[in-house]
Amino acid sequence: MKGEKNTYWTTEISPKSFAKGLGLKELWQKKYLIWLFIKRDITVQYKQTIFGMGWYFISPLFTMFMYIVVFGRIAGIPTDDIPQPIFYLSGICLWEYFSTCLTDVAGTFQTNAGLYGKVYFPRLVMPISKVISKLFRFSLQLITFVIVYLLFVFQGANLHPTWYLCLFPLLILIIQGLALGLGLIITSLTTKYRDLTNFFGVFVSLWMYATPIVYPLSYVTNPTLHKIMLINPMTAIIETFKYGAYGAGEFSWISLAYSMGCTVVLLIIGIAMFNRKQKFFIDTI
Amino acid sequence: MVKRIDIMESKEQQKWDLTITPRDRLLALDWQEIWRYRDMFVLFVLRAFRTAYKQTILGPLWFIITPVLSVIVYVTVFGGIANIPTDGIPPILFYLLGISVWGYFSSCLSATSNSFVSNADIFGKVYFPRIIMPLVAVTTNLLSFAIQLAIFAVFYIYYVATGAELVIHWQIVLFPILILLLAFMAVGFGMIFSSMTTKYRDLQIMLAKIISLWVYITPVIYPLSMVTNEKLHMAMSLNPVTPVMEAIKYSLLGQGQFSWLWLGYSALFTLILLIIGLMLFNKVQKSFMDTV
Repeated sequence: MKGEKNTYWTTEISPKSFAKGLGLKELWQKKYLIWLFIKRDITVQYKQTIFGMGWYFISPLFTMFMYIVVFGRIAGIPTDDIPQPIFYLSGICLWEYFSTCLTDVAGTFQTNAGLYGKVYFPRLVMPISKVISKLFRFSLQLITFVIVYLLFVFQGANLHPTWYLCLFPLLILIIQGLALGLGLIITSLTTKYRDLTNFFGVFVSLWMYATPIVYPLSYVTNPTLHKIMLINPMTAIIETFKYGAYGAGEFSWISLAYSMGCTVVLLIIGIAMFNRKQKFFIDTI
Repeated sequence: MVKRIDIMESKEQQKWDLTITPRDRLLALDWQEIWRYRDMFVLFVLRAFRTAYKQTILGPLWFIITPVLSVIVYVTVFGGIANIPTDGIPPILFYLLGISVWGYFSSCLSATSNSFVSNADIFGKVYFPRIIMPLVAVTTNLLSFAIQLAIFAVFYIYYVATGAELVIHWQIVLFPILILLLAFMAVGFGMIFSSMTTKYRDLQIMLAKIISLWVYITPVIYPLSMVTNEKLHMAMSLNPVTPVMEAIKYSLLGQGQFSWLWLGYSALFTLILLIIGLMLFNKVQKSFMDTV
């Protein structure tokens, strides 16, 4: 009994109530932890590997090659008069960044259950550091894209970059927010119901087909289908990037704003659900 | 002093029910041992079936939702937007069959190739013939495959009833053999990959990439007859899954290319894969616990 009186805790951990907000202040205090995890994630991306970083340069080229054969040659889908390698590569790089972020965030509770069960830190640290550390891989792929792009420019290809390319950082931010928001929602749902995880993999791969990556948006002539495509928040991002990088594609501030709106809403819902789940998830996982 | 004698004595008397020694012969596959562990196999399969729908919202319904959703997207994107022909077969049937068969192959392949990494915990604690895990994967994936085939059958009957012209060839009797061939091919490839992924994790990422790209050089979303470029046609046929896929399409839908020669090639390819796979698998299972 006496001991109880003298116990003194350095930190008190209690399940957070929603009133305390999204817990962003605590997150800011723990930014060194985010930095630590980012460094770890980047290291494991090339340690104990055969090809090291080289793989990240080459992997988009493989995908590009396959798309050229199947969608370009066999199916004969046009590419807005843009050289096929550039057209496919731009979509592949952005989509891959988005999908890997989404998949990683969507597995937050499952993959970190061991660590989460043992020590306390704001749980949001994990998904945020994942999204940032994936930038490393993305930038390597982007280098590949730039090299291929310059090769075609020197050959005199018909490429017209526009000032909208300056929106690139914003596009990346939207992609990150979207992946984070949606991923947090999914990971909160999957702690209890495992079946969503199986479904999720299929969902992501199908989502890619619903985004103008293997075909240009202008190719979708059916007006209803065209509208449905625009509901997909990734469509505007890809099209904006394509418009900025080589002047093909459909750019509109409205659809970009729509994507941003979607992102903000998903992000708030995601963080709220995540914070609610983090109180009890260890019991059901 | 007395104690020491005890220990010495007990050492002499030590008798083990089971001695586990690293196997030295590379190609050895101990069928007797696998047979002895059949209850383990059955338990793993049952576990996989149960976990497939326990603690789920929609339960086994997922087995239906995923293929149907895939077909909807394929029909819209490849049929609607890209206008890829389907050899005159209703697109739904064409894609559904391709998706089911490919899905079975790819899920067997990825399960087998991750068998060391994803079962490291249980492998580290108890001994049983490691080869059981790939066999379990091949068996459990049959469940979702069977459900997808049932959906296919429903659509098939619908199309026949509404008067679509569909021909079934006698080669349909080969269907179980073709599926078995696919399963063995997946296990062969998977064993080769799994023995490499224990040490180099990037191979795991690469493999996922390879599987996701492999589908494009297999006639799943387009018929092989559409590939008119001769070199490309040849390259496609070299993919051992292609002849099997085409043979299945030929026997069930009446369109496709059935060739004994190419099927023989697939079978031979599978046999070689299995031999190499088994050798690597046996080699790795001795020491993988240290690097995984």
